Amino acid sequence: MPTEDYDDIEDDDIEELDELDDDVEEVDETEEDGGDAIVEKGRRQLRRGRLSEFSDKLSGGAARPGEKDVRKSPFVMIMAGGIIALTLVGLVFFIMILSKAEENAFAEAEAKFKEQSYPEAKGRLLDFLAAYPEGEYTERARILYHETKVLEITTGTSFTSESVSEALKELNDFISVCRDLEGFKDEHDDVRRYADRIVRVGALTAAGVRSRKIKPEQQPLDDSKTALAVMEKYAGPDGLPRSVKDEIRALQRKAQAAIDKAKVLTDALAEINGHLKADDTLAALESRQALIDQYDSLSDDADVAKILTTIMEQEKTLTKQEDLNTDAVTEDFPSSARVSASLTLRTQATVEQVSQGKLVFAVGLGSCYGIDSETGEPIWKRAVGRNPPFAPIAVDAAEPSLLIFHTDTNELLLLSQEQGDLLWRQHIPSRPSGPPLVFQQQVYLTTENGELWKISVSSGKAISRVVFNQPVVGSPAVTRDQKHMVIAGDQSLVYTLSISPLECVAVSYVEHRLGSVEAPILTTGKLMLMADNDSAEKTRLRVLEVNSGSGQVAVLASDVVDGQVRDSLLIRGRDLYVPSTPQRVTAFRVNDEPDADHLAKVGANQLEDAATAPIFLRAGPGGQLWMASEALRKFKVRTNTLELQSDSVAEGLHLQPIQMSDENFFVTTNEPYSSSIFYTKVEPQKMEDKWRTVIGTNVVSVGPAGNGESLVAVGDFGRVFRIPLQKIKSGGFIIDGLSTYRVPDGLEDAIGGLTLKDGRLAAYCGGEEPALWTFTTNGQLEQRWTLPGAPGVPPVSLAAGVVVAVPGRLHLTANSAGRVQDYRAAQSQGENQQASWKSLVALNDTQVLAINADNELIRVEYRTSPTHHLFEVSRTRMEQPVELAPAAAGDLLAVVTSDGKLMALSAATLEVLDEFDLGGVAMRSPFISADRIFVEVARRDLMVFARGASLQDPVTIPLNGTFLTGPPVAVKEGGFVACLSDGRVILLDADGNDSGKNVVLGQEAQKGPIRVGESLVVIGVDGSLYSVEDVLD
Amino acid sequence: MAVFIAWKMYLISCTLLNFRSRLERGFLIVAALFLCASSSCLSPARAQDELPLLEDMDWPSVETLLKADPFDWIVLKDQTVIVCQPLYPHPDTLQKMADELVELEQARGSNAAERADIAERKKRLKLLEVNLPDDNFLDYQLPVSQVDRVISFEDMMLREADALIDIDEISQAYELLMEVERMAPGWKQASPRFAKLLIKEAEINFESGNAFAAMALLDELAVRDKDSPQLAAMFGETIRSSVQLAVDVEDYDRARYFLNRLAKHFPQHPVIADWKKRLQSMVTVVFEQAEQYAQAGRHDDAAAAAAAANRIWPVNARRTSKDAQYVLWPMSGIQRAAYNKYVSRQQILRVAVRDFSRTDIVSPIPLEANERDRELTTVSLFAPSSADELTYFQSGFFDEWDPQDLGREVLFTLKTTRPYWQTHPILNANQIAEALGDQLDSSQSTFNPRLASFVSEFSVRSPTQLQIQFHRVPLSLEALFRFPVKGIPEDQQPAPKDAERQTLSTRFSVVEQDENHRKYRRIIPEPDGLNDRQYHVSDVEEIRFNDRHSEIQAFLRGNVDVLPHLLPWEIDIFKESGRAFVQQYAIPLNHLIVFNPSSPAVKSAQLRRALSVSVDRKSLLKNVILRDPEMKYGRVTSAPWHSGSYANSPLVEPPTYDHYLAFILRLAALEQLRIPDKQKFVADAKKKILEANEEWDEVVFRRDHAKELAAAVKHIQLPKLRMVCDPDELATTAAEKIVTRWQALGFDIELIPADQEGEKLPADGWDLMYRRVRMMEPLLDLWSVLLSDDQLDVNQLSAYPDWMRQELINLDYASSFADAQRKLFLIHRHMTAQAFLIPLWELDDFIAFQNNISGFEGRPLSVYHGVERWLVKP
Repeated sequence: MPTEDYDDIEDDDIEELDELDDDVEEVDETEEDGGDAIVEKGRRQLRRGRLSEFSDKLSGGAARPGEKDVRKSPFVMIMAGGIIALTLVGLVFFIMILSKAEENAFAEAEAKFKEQSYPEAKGRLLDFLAAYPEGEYTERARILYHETKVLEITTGTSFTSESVSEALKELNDFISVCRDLEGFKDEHDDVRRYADRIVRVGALTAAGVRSRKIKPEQQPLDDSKTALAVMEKYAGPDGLPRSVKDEIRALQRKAQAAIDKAKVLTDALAEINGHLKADDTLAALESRQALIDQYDSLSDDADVAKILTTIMEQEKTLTKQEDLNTDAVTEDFPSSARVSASLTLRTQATVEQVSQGKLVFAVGLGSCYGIDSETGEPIWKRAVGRNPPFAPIAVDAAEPSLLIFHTDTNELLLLSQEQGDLLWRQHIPSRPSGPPLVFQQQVYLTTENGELWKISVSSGKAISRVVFNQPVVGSPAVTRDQKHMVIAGDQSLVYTLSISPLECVAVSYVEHRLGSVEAPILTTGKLMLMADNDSAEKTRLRVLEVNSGSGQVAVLASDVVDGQVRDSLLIRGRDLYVPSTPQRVTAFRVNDEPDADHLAKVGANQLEDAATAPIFLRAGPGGQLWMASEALRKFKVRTNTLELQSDSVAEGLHLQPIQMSDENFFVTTNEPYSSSIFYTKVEPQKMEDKWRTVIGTNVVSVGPAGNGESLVAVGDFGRVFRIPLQKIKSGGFIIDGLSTYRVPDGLEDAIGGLTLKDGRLAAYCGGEEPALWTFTTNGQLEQRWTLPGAPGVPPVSLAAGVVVAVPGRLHLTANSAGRVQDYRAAQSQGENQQASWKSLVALNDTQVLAINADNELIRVEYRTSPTHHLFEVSRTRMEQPVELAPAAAGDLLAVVTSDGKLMALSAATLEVLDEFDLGGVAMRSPFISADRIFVEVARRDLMVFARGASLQDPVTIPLNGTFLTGPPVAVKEGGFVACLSDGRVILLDADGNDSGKNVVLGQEAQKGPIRVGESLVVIGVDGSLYSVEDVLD
Repeated sequence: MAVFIAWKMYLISCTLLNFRSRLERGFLIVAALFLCASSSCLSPARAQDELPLLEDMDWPSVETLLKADPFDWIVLKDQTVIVCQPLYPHPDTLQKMADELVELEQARGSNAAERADIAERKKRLKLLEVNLPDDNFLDYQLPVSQVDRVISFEDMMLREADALIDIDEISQAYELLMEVERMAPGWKQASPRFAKLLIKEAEINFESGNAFAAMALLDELAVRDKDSPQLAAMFGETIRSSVQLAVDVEDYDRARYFLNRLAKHFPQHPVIADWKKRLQSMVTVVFEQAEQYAQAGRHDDAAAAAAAANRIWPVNARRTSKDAQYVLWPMSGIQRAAYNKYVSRQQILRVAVRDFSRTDIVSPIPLEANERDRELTTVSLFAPSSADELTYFQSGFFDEWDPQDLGREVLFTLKTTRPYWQTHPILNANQIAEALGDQLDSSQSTFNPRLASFVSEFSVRSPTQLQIQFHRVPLSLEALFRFPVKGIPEDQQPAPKDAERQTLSTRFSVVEQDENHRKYRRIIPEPDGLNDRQYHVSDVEEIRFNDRHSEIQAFLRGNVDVLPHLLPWEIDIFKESGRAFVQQYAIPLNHLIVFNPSSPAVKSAQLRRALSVSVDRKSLLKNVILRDPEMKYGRVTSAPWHSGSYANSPLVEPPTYDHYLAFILRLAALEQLRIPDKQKFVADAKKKILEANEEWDEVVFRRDHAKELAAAVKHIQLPKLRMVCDPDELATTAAEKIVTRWQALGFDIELIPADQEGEKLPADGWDLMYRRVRMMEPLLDLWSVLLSDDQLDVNQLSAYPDWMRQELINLDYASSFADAQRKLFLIHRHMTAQAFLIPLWELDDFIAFQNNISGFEGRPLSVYHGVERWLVKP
C-alpha cells in the first residue's frame, strides 16, 4: 500500500467537524430557551442556523392552526423522535462494537511485533492501517509498521550489501514518515539502536565475510557511515559514548582497511613476493612500507603482518653465519723496526707529575701512542694509519693489551700496553663501523659492509662472522640476560643474535629510514634504546623490548629529543644522556619496570651558537656529566634541569671519546688552525688541564739548521723544534720545543710555512691578525711581521723577503730594508672587486710571477729605486687555464695547465718553448730538481721530463694513488730520492726511472726528503723524522 | 754676723734701692747700724758666730735634699760657707757668670746706652747676689773674688747620689738624679751620674739574673749617652752572657734577639762578631748532621736538624724579616739549598687546635677533635670532594665504578697504581670484600644495617674488580660506601677468625704525642729522588692552645701554619691583613640542638616547641655569634643541613621567636604531664561519689574542686633537662645564653660541656645537645643527626611517630633525585613543625693558612681535606 494513503488528512473534513460542533452549541441554547415570547422567538429565528432550519423543516415552521400537517403533529413528531432516538442509541452501540474491533486488531498486530514475527506483524499492521486509516491506533500502528520493516532486515543473521542498503532505506523511511507523529519521540532510542545495528552490520559487511565469500565493498561502509550520522543525530543530548564511537570507528577503519586492502593488497603482495623471490628483503620491506604509508590502515592488517613475518624470516635466512677459524698473524710488520724521532711536544701545568708507570693510550696522526698518565711523556708509539674507526680499547688478554685497527693494512691489532708490541693482528677486509664490543673474552666487531666478526681476544683467531644483508650500525648491545645481542641494521630492521653460537635468531621490524640510526643500540636494564633520526630536527628514542625466548624485538615506547643523534648514547645508573646536534644533551631517567614510564625527561641543554660537531659524553656520580665536543664542558643534573657549568677546558675539536684513568680525563683534540693533534690530561672536578702532549705534529716548514747537523722544523701550533741528526738516527721522542711563536687567539685559518731563499724558515697565518714569523737557521724566532691581509696563496721568497699575495695586491715582507710599497693590481670597483690570485712563483731573486684569476701571468719585480717597491714588469695572458703554481728553475718555467698539458716557458720572456700532453690532469704543481721536471698526473703516474726546451720522452712511474711529499732530491751518486705519500722512499736513476730500491717508513709521509748535511730526512705523517739515506745503499 | 748684715744692707741700698740722696744714704747707714746693734742685742750668741768652715758643714741628707727647699753653699776664699737660697744662674753659677763676663769683655756696644749697660752688667757680674735662707726680702751682693766656689743644691744631690750609687742604693740615687734632672734639665754634671746609675743598676740586675732589665737600662743609657764609658763593655758583657744562656738552652731566637739588641747600638761590637761566628759554626755542624741523616734516609731527622739550623741561623727571609733588622745573617746558597731540601723533604704542618681527640669525655657523639683524628687516620672508600647543592664524592681506591643494569649492579675497578703523593695503601678487591662482608654481617660490631638493606650480593671477579648487586638501587652510591676498610693485614694472615680487625685504609698515624703536641705522619712516605717542589706535607703536628689569643698569637708569630676555624669577627681582619690565605669551607657549619630520642623528658612536642620558639635566633646570631649587625657570615636556618642544600625546602621558615608562645607551650607541656594524675584524682572522686549513691557530674566536680585538683598535681613538674654542649667557644657562649633564656621561662636545664672528662654519657644520660654539624649528604646523614648515632639502626627510630619513622625510612627508597628532594622537603616541614630538632643558624666557616702553605683546596670540606697535597714552603 502506498504511504500516501495513510498520510492524507483532508482539510474539508476537519472544517465540517468544526461547524458541527458550532451547531451543537446552538441547539443547546435553543433548548434552554423553550417557551419564550414570540418576539423573542422571532428574533431567534432571525438568527437561526441550519439546525433551526432543520427544525422548522421538521415541524413545518410556524403555521396557522388548522393548517398544520398531520405529519407534523406532536405525536407523530414524538414517535418519530423516539424512533430516531432509538436509532441513535443503536448507532452508538454499533460504533462501540466497531471500536473494540480496531483495538483487537492492533493488539494482535502488536503481539506479533513483540514476538518478533516481523513478516506477520508487518502484514497485520498493514491490514490494520487499511482497516483503520484514521483509528485510534493508527499512528502507533504506522510506527510499528516501519519498525517492523527495519527490524525484519536488521535482525537477520546474514547480510549483504543490498540488505544493508535496504535496512538503511527502511530506517530513513521510518524517520521520514513517522518523525512528525506524536509517538515518534518515544522511538528515538529505537531509531539510534536500529542505526547502530546498521552501522555495525554495514561495517562488517563492508569488510567482507570470508566464510561466505563476500568481498569487501564500499557501499555497505558508506551506508554504515550514513547510519552513523543517524545514530549520532538520535543519540540524545550527551551524544554517543566515546567507547561506542571508538568501537564503531575501529569497525569502519577495519572495513576501510579491508576495502583498501582489497584494492591494493593484491598488487602489493605480488610486488613484495617478487622482491622476496629475488632475496631482496629490503626492497620487499620498502614495498610493504610504501603500502602502509599509502594505506595507514593496513599497518595492522593480518596479511600485511604475515608478509612482514615472511620478510623477517627470509631476512633471517639471508643473514649468514660463517665459521672462520682464521688464525691471527703474530709477526710484526717489517717496517716497525725503522727508527724515528717523533715530535711530541709536552707542556705541563704543574710540577707534581711523577710517573707511576701507568699508561694511557691515544691515536694521533697515524700513530697510536702509549703515554705516561702522570707526566704526559710518550713511552711508545706504533703506526696504525690515519683516521682510525675507534680509539684504542684496553682489554685483558694474557697481559694488559690494547685493541686498535690499522687503517693502512685493514687489520685488527692487539698490542701490549706496556711497550706497544704486537701480540697479534687479524685481517678484516672492511673498515669497522664502530668500536668493537669486548664481551666474555671475545671481540665483536661490526664492519661497514655489514659483517659482525667474532674474534678471540687471547689468540686473535677469527672464530666466526655473521654476514648481514645490509650494513649494521655500531657495536652490538648485549641483552640483560646475556643470551642475545641486538644490532640495528642500516634500514628498518633490528637483528637479534645468539651469543653462543653467534648466529641470527630473529629479525625484527623496527621501522627506520635508511641511515637514520647512527648511534648503536644501548642496553638499558631489561630494555634497549634505539635513537632514530626520523626527521631533520627531531630524533625518536624508541624503547625496545627483546623477547628472551624468540629474540624478537618490539617497540614498547617512544620519546623525542631535539636534534639528530649521531653519537653514542650514555647511561650511568638510571641516568640516560642523549647527545644530539648541535652540541645538545638531553637527560632522561630510565625505568625498565613494566608499568612505569620508561623514559622520564629530566632536562636538556644546548650550547649557544653551537656548531655541529662530534659529541663524546662521560658521566660521573652525583649527576655530573662532561661533554667533549668543541671543548670539554661540564654539566650537572638538577631536579628538572641540566645545568651547564661555566668553565670549559681543552678547547678544540674533540676527536675521540673521553678516556678516564685515576679520576682524570684524557682527551684528544685539534685546533682549527692546526692539523696537529693534542692529547690533554684534565682534572674533571676542577676543570683544569695538567699537561698536553702533541701526538701528531704537522710540520709546515722544515730545513737544515745552520750547522748542517740538525734539522729545524716549524710546527703549526706555535712551536719550533731543532733536532740533531744523531737524535733522528737513534730515535725517540722530542718533547721539548726550541722556540715559540704566538698563534693569535681565535685563529681559524690554517697556519702555513715556507723556506726563504737564504734557508731561513717562516710560518704565516691569516685570520684577523695575519702575520708571518721568520726564524733563524738555528730555529730561534727572529721576528713577527704583520701582514696587510690573509695570504690567498702560499707566499714565495725573493732574496729581499717574502712576497705575500693578498686580495688586490702583492706585499713584500720580512725584508730588512724597510717598508716596500705594495704592488696593487688593477681594481675595478670597491674592495670586493680586488683581483684574486691563483698562485705565486719566484722566478729569480728579484722577480715573482703571479697568476691572477683572469689567467694573466704578471711578472713583478722588487726594485729599490726611487723607493723600495714592487714593480709590474709585464703582463701576459695565458690561453690555457693555469690553476696550479708553476715551477721555476733558472730560465725555465714549467707550467701545468688545466687541460692536461705541461708547458715549458722561458722564464725571461714567458715564451712557450714546448708543451707536452700529459694524458691526464696534473693534480699538483710540478717539481724541478736538478735537470729533471717531475709532474704528477692524476695521482696515477709520475712523469719525469728532462729539463730543457724540449719536453719529450718522459719517464713514467706509477703512483698508485699516492703523491710526492716534496721535490725529489738529487743525490751525488746520480739519480734522485723521492718520497711518496704512502711512506715509500724510492730511488730513481738519473733519468727518473725507478731503480727498485726503496725504504718503507711504515706510515704515510707528510714531507721530504730533506737534505741535512749528508743525510736525507723524511717526515712521517705523525711528525716522526726518519733518516732514509739507506735507500742509497 | 751683724756686720755682715749691715754690709748687706748697705749693698742693698747701693744697688737695689738705689737711694741717691745723702739723706737717704745716711738714713740707711743709720738703719743698718741700728740693725747691727739690734741684731747684736737680740742675738748676742749668733752675732759672735763665725761663718762655718766647709769642712764643718754637715752635708744634707737624702731626705733633706728631697724634701727641703733648695739652697746653695757659697764657699768663700777662707773656706767658710754661706748658706743661701739657690743662686742665679743655676747651677754652675760662677762658671756661668765667668763665661758671661768673658763674653761681655768682648762686647763693645753700639751706643752709649748699650755700653753703659755692658759696663753695668760687667760690674754686677763681679758680685754674687745672695739671698739668705728664710729671707726673701733682702738681697746681698758678694764680690765674686771673695768666693772660692759655690756648692749648689744639685751638686749636693749629685754628691749624695754618688754616695748612694756606691752603696747600691739605686732607688734613692735614682730619685735624687731625677730630682736633679727636674731642677736642671740636661745639666751635664748629671749625665755621668745617670750613666753611673744605669750601669750600676744594670750590673745589679745582670748579677741578679735579670738580663732583660739590665738590657733595658743599658738601652736607656745608650739612648742617653751612647758614649758612656762603661756602656759598651757592660752591654757587651750582658749580651754575651745572655746569649750564652740562650744558646745553652737552645733558644736561638732569644740569642739572636740579644745580639740584635746589642747591634742596634754597637753594630761592630766584638760580642756580635764572636757569636755570629760561633753560631755559624754551629749551623755548619748541624747541616753536616742533617746531610748524614738525609743520606741515611732519616728525612725526619734531617728536617729536624735543618729546622734546628734554621733556628740557630735563619735561612728564610720570611722569618728574618722582622727580627733581623740590625744583624745581617748571611746564609750561603748551599746552606739555603740544603735547608730547603731537607725541610721540603719532610714538611711539617703545624695546626692550632684547642683539644686533641679523646675518648675519656662525656660526649655521646664524636667531637670535632675526634673527626679531625678520624680524618687523618682513616680513609673511607669514598670521601667528599666538592659541594654545591649536592656533595660530590671521590675515591682513593677505585678507578671506576660504573653502575650497570640501571644501577642494580656496580662493578668497582680498583686502582693498581697511586700517585706518589697519596699516602694510603692500594687495596685489593679481596680486602674490600672482606670489609664489606663485615659491614653486612649482623654479628659484627661493624654491622651497617642500612648498607645491608641495599646490598644483595657481592663477588670478587679479580684482584682489581669487585662486583656488587643491590636489592634496590641506592640513589647516592658513593655516600653509602663511606666507610673505612678494616681487616687483617696481609702480613698477619692467616689469622684467627675472631682476630681484631685493623684499619687498612689509613693515611696518617700518630707518631708523637705529649700534653700540647700531637704529631701525625704519613703511613707511606713520598718516594726519594723527587724534585724539592714535588714533596708535600709529611707530618701534621697539632698544637694545643688554651685560648684563642694564644692561637692567634702563635699564628702571627709563624709558630703555627693553620688556624682551622676563624671566628666570625676575625674573618675580615685576616682577609684584609694579607698575612694569610683565608679559604671558606664549601659547606657552612650548622648549629642546632638535637634531642635524645631515648630521653622520655623531651618526648612532648609542646616542650620541644617551647624550647624552640624561645630561642631568639636572630638576636643571638647578630650580637653574640657574629657580632655583626649585617650578619655577613651567618644566617638563621630552619634545617640541620645548609641553606644551599638541595634538601632545603624553600617553603619552610625558621622558627619564629615568641616568648609568650614559649611560655604557653611550656604550660601546655606541663599540663600534659599532669593529665594522668588529674584523671586519677577525678576517677577516685567519682568512685567515691558513686559508692555513696550520689549524683555524679564531672563538669561540676571539676569546677567545684578546681583548687584541690590543682593542688593534687602541683608536685608534678617538668623534668630537669640535661643539655650537652659542643665545647666550641661560640657554641658554648650561645648555649649559655639559650639556657639562661630557658631558665627564665621556668625550664630547669643543666649544661654539660661535651668535652668534660668522664665516661661517655649513657643513652638516658642526656636530653638534648648543642651540636655543630656539617652535613654532607642529607639523604643519608639525617638519620645520624636525628638519632645522634651512626649505627643507623631502624629500631632507634621508634622514638618518633609512625609517620615520621616511615618518612625517614622512605628516604632510602627514593628512586630519583627529584623523589629524594620531595621526601626531604616533607621531612623538613614536619621536622620544623614538630621541633624534632632545634635549628639555630649556619655560619660560613673559614680556615686560615700561612702564606707559605699551598696546594690546599679552594673550598675545603673539612680541616684536612686533601692534606696529602698541601705544601709547606720553607
